[in-house]
Amino acid sequence: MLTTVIIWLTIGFAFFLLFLSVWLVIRKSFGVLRERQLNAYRKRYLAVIPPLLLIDTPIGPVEESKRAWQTAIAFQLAAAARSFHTGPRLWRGVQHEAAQSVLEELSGTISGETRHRITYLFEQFGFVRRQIAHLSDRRWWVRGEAARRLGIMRSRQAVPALVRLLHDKEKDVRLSASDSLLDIAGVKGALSQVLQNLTTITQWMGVQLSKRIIAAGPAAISPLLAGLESPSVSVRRFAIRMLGELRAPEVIDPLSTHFGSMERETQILALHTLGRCGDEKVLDLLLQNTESQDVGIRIAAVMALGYLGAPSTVPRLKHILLEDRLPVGRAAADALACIKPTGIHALITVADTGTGHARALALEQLDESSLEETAQ
Amino acid sequence: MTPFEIILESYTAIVLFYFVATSVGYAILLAISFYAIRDYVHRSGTIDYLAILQSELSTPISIIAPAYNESATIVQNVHSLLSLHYPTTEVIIVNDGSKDDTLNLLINEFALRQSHRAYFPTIPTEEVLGIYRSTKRQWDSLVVIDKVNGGKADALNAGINVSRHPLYCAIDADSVLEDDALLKASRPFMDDPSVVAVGGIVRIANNCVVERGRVVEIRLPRKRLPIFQIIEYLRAFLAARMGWSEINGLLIISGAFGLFRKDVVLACGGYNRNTVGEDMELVTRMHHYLLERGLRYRMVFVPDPVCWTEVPETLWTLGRQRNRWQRGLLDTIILHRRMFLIPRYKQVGMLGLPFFAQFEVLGPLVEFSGYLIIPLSALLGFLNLKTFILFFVVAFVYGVFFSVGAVLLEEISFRRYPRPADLIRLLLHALFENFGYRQLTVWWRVKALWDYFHGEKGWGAMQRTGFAQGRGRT
Repeated sequence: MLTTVIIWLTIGFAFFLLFLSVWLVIRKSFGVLRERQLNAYRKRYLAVIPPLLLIDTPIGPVEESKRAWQTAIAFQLAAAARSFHTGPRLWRGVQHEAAQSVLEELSGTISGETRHRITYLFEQFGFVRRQIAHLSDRRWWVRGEAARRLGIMRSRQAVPALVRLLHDKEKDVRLSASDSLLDIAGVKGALSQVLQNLTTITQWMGVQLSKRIIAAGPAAISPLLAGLESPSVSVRRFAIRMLGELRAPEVIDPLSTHFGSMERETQILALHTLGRCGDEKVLDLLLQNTESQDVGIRIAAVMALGYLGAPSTVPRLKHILLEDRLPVGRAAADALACIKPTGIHALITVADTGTGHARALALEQLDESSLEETAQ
Repeated sequence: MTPFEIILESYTAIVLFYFVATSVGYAILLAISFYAIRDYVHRSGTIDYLAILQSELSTPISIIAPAYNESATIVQNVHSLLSLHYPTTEVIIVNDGSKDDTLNLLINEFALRQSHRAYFPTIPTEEVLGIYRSTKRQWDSLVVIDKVNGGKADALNAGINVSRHPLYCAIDADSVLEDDALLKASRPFMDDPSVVAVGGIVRIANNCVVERGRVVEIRLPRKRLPIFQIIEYLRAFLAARMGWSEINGLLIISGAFGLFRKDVVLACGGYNRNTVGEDMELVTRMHHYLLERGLRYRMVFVPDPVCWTEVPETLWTLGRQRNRWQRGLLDTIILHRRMFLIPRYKQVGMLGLPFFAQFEVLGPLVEFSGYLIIPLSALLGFLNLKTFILFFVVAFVYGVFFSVGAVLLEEISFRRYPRPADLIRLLLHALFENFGYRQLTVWWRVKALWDYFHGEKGWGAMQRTGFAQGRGRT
């Protein structure tokens, strides 16, 4: 009996494997065909869509000019939309995908007035409506992908739905929604809302968001300062870090005032930011923290002194290089190398008269500097 | 019943139990991997990796590549490492006492000069003879360490001692990373601060078109032996490591491509110089160290960042490689035997190590004994032909299932082999590897166990033809 069961199970399993293999090959072959068809449709749409975008309109107020363009393309637009339903039924989805990908590609290369025209085409072809519908899909990856694509389409119709998505349970969806909101409404318009609504910002999310924030420059400072008040520690840390990257002097007072009440990791970030902002009124705070019991805080304070570049700190940094532990000494050597020429002179002295790791670190820094000069 | 029949019956029962346990274990891993890969593929669809390139917030990485007699490929490969996409990296090449002109080639090509880079042997290593830096700005992230030969583990330790960044990437100097490999592999560290190590997938570059240290066209190898190895690699990486990663029981991060948090590796004492399986041993020791202290951590396998490597095309070289791998595995299991079946060591002690010991160490012995006992039983008239054929067919179908499963994972995810003909060849090789190739690998692994207990400690020679020698294709 058992033998019979095993025999039948094995035969069934063998057939399943055969079926699976054949299915894989068919799927792959169909994939190749689909790819070819997609490319063919893309070529077709690449010939149709760019001329629509480049139609000239009479010079005048922006809104009038927009309306004139919309009227001018109305006929061709309807024809293009109809063409989605003319091909073989099997390839309808591919047709849509091709048109959308052509628009997305153009969207990445065009700015200014033409950018609004692409958004209009996305809306008219129904792509925006479809992606907004996908934002409520129960599968998180569909929501995430829709959020990402809406960012490319830059339609303001999507803003309310994207704001709701900032509370999604999946962090990749929240990230896509944040990115897209910054794309659609700009850093000035959307960053406050993003920072208010997000409950955590991981380093990864920070990396993704920072690109747009740095590009926005001073426009991002005010929303970031508001972010310092967030109840979320990770949001506050992100705001501190970004303000440091932007070298915003406005952050010095709030950080100096609240420094004592911050947690250790936030203090480390704050020291870096204070150093980057380059104002000597934080000198006392930084020097005071070079004497902290915590190695991490000492390293951050020493590095901040390097960013600040004040010659008056050279004796203290030299002392740290000679006396403190290896990682702090290394930070001190790095900091001295940033303060030219007095820091370099101090390094030369340590290289000549110092011993142990202090001398090795000084020699290393001088070597780095000479390499830099040779390279220049 | 005669004593021989009793022995045979007992043996059959053990083999059956072993077979069922193996089948169930691997099937569970395959199922876990399936869901994990599906999730990964969905997740990577929404990611803009290029954002890292423009961000100051990414974690800097030191790339450490030990080199021993690599003159055939070293210059091309260093160029390739220097042009990887990542905002802040330093490339540390450790010339581990090469007897050929590896060092001179580097000095001449990259305008190196001896530097005063400080060397603090936090992990003890063989003597460092010199540290070189380039005088050219475009290569200012290159550091070359010249040291007395001490083996791969020792070279990696020297690289760690010199490195300046909080993450390091250990790679083989003769492998080729894809441009975005670091971007993809670094993500888990930035997403979750408890991640201490990340392994990427190693793929086979034989017959691929390689230009300027980059794989520009992916093709299946022409020879059978490398194709069999492709099936094996897909099984090992996509079907097994992905599953282990999901349950945080990953015991191997390939020495050819892995990213580690330096502070954790330093706390564990770096690579063990006295084993040939230093990559697996380090990962197991990290588990040991972190679990002993009750720290929360994760080790992750990422199936997408690709490291391309050349695999052996001759049986002799492949045999030496497999022998070394098996000895390394056994060494690690013996070194960390204290973790076995102790609940404190969680999934590693309760699942990972016992699994590897039972299926990867003892498995070849069980299979090999079958190849001996079946003809012997037939010769003595004890073999029940019906049962034998049934068992053989079941084992064969199951073996094919696992290989086809690995190909399926590849097809639903990354589809690196573009042509339907490639897929058909892969599926056919998944079928035929059970006749001859599988038995050979069993023999190599059994021999490795013999060698291990008879004191063989060496690496064995590995002949490499090199990716780029003006012929464009390997």
